[in-house]
Amino acid sequence: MTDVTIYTTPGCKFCKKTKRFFKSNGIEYNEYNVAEDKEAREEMMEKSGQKGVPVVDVEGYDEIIVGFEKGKLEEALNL
Amino acid sequence: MKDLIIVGGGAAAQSAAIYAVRSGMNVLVIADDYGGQINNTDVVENYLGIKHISGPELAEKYVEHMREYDVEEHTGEKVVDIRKTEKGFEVETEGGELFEAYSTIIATGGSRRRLNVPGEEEYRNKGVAYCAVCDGPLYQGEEVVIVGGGYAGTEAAVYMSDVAEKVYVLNRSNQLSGEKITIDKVKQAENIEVLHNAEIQKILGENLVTSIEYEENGNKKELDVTGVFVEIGTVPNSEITDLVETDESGYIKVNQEFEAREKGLYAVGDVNNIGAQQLVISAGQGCQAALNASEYVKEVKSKSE
Repeated sequence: MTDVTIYTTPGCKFCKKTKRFFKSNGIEYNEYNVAEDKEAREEMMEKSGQKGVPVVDVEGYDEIIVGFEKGKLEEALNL
Repeated sequence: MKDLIIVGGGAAAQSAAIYAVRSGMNVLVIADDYGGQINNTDVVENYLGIKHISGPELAEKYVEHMREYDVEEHTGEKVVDIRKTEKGFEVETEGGELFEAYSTIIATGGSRRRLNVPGEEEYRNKGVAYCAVCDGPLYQGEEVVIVGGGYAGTEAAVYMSDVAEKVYVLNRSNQLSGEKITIDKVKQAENIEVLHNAEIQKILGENLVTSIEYEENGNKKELDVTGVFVEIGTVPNSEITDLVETDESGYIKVNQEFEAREKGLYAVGDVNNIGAQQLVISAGQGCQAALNASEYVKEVKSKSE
């Protein structure tokens, strides 16, 4: 299964929306709460070059997805 | 054909939906997304019966509550037009779908007002943020500025004072507005500094924001910050139909019944020109409009029989 990572904060509705999208499509994912996890926060900023959440990293997809981007998520996950 | 279509997904819309179904109408809610502006709110502490709750959590409760009732939902799409038909109103979505109802409630709320200064677009998410509770945690230990000294600005400042090392508040007038209880917290926080009579001019940076330029009492100044949180209020989402009249700021004009220009067409919550922009007001207006719509629809139906 493709490795999917999402970086989130607890107060972010688009993070929840993205996770709901994963769940409804049966996608398993690793979640990092960047409000708590400093290492993950740095990793996220390094990968995406920015400071907005959610950030989604899909293994094998050449773009880091920032925000809830349904079209890109579908493309990245071959849905 | 529905009795009532509610356009919008925030407190005003969901309160209207609950009252409308309870009054016997069949109801369709059309919303791009649920929750509205409380999704961007850290905590809600002024809603009767709920002492303390996070904004996004309360937003979820609203949806849950609405779903206790038989409300038809159409989500994920914005409404682009509302037109008059022989019997009522026709609502068109982005995707071109059409829905018809005897009555319609517009509860589209407001969107964040933007600064319109150089650098705002360029550094969006790279230091420029519109939601302190969402993106604030990414600024831990940094120095940030909140632009705006009203309800939302003071709340964001208090929230960020727990997260950031130092918080500046750029306030256009000579005193903060908003709730006194929040203003007091701003004043008490040791790491918040309020700059009055100050207007942002420009956002500067390299890959990420490094500073802003602003004018204080007419003098040009610079502030080294890595975060700029924009909290200067909202603009009403009123551009969805020609059937309403708006005031000079774009708010839909309504009468005491919350009726816009057409009979049977209502506007409630932050999109209309009356009342404070507060959750309890939006919920209240949604309720009242739904009850009024219920009477209206009964009358229209009885005439057409």
